Amino acid sequence: MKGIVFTEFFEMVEQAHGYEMVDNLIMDNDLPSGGAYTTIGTYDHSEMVTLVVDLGKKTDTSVPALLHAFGKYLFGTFEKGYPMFFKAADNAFDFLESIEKYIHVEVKKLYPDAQLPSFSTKRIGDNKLEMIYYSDRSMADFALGLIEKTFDHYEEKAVIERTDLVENGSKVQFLIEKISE
Amino acid sequence: MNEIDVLKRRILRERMARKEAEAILEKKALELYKANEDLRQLNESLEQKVAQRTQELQRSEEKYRGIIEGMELGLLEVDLNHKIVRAYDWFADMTGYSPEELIGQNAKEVFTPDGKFDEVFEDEDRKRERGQAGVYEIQLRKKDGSLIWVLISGAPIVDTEGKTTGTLGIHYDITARKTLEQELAKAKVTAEQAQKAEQQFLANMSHEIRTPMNAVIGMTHLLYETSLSETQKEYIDALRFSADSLMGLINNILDLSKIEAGELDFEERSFNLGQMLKGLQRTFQFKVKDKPVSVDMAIDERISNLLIGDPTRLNQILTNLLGNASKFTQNGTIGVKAFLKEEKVDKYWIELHVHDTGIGIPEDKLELIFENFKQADIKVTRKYGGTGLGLTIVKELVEIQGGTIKAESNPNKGSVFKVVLPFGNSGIKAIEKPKVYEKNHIQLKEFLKEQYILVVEDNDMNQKLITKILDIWECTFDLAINGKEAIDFTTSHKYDLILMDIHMPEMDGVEATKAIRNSEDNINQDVPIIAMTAAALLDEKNRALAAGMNDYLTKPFSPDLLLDKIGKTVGFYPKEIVAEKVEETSALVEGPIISFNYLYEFSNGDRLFVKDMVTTFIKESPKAFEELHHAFKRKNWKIVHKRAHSLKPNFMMLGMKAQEETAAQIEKLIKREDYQEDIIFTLINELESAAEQAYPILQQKLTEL
Repeated sequence: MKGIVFTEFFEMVEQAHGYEMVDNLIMDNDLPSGGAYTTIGTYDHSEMVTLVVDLGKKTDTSVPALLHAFGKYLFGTFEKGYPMFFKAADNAFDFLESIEKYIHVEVKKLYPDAQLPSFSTKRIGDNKLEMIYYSDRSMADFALGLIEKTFDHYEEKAVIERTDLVENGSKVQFLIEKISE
Repeated sequence: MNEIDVLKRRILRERMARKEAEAILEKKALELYKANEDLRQLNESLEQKVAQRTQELQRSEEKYRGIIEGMELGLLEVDLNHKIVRAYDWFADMTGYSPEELIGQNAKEVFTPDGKFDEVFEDEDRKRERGQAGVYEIQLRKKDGSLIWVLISGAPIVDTEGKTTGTLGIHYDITARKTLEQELAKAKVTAEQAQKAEQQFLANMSHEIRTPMNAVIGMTHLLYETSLSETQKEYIDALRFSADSLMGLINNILDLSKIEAGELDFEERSFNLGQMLKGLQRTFQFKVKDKPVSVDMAIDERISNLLIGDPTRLNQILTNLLGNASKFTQNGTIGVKAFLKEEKVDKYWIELHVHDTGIGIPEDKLELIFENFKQADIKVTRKYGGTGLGLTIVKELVEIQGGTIKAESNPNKGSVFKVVLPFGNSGIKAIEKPKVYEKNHIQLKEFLKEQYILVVEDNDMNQKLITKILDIWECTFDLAINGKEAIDFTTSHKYDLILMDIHMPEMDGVEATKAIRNSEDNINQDVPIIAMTAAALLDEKNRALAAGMNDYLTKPFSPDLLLDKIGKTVGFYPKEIVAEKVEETSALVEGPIISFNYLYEFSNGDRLFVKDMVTTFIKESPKAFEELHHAFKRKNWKIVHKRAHSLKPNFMMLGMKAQEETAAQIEKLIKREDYQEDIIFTLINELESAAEQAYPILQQKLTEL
């Protein structure tokens, strides 16, 4: 997993609970990297799982809620760091459709070792989009956070209905209906 | 204490993270350096390849450009708006510019500022738009203002997407060729003008000479009729001989000039070769009557049908050859043998041998005799006279008709001239008389006495002819002098038959017929009408039939033929084709041929009638010629046509067949709007001088009647 996810995770935790919480998470867990992350490095995915689970315990929050919040937080980082991806699309639907076809293709060029989820999209009428999430990491909540923030970015509103298509959460359907004001 | 520990750990972690990042960066920098190296090497080899290919391409382009420029062809590339994209050296040399001066200029404006070839360019542009090439010739203005002609082969320049972006023009300087062409055209015009002037001169001269000659010949004929002493008769013989020779010479010159101008027309009509040979025999027997020479004629009995061709020209050919034969033969035999060489379905190839037992021609001179003004021996001219034009004309006349001529000779034994000519086969037996219904004629004449006939005819002499014959048949008839009068007659009288002339003033026969046929209340609406057409033109006949006429009769016609036509039209005879009588020209050489046979036959030998007709001719003809000349001077072709048309039957009735044909020829030329003034003028004069020559002879004959 890319280092930026870890550094941004710690950034979010520090903002919410102070650096002491970050220190605790590192000290209380046996992390192969020793908890010293750099944005351009690559680290084992299991370290993130350990950190999120422990944070849930320490703050008495569910893992899905944490992932959802982290997704929302990370969107801001992406918005600032990669504005060209957002300019390439005029609206939220176009942007969501461009993730698989364009953004992930470009990310792969920059980080050939990056492991990314995949999406399939299908328009159902003018205002409805079906988006299916595929990933062994089962981090659909994280994706949901990103999707929700997308609509904020384009100043649009939508109702998102989530359905797990398999039990382990590796295939999740999002039915997104755009609402006009 | 705890806070300080956390901080210490944080700094430691930050340092570790920085070291890790630095290590990654260093690794990445190395990778980047390596990638750059690879890229540079790749680039270098690529550039090398591109340079190599470009060089190859340039070399090949140079090669072709070298070839084209070596062929002295100028290349120019323009875009779709004629803007010059590239000008090659040879093209620049050709036009006097440097290539740099031309780039960016509009080729059309620079080279064709007067817009003379805009239409050509438009055509070519359209072709180029369709991706087509084109070849065209235009004139270019050089830098120094002079003009050159170029042949351009233009091909579209096509980009990688297949779109036409301009034209590549290959220019070839054809100025020298063009100049030559123009000079040739000019030279041709000059030569033609010179030739025309020569022909005009010949036509004028022969006319100027012929007019007084006609008087000389005419008067000579009259002198014979006066009481003469032997000496006087001898002098007149010499006078007539000289006059005839001179006339022959003039006619030859005129014929030759006609042949050279390609203005000789040939007729297509049926004639009897046997009769022609008999006529020639009589003529030449008379010519050689003072020498121990006999004239023999022989005809292959397989030539049983009437031939189709030009009897006048054949007569001319044979007369000329026999003339030579009689001239060079002092004793023995001259004559003609006619063989059937080949017979096809509708074609006869006839071989005619004109033989003599004269002085002959040396073998080395045989080729020479057909050339202009050449005789076998210069001494011949002194001894026998002649111009050396005769055989040239004969050869031309034979060859124009698709035939051949050659001469064979043994000096002091004689010569044979072998002529092979094609003729049409009429399919009519030469001895066959027209089929007439002799047995029924008496009954038909009885029947006609009860018929009431309307004759519509404007020509004086024709009126006399037709009314004479109807008088003989004791018919009741009215005479109308034009179509208008005819209609007036038909409204007040019921007729059994109308004989209608076609060409008439006021209203012609076709119009009158239409009026009668289309008028419901005309009591004669369904009366039989027979057209009398002077011109044997098919469209005239068709016009008559289309107007509603029942039948037509071509003038001249015999009384028997008229009787048959009437019998057929009024339903007296079954509808069978009545054969038209074929008449034969007799072969006299000098002076107009005059015969009263037709008039006698027509009038059943009524001398007063013949006298009346002849007097009318002598009285009316000069007036007609005056009108003809007047109309010709004002180029009023309509009147010229009309006069010639009305003169034609007059000559016919007097048996003046040659003059009848001349009048017909004038008519024909004007009809097809072929206003060759010199020819028409010559024809009118020929006609007039023949008439003038005829007047004294006719006067003489009148006193004998």
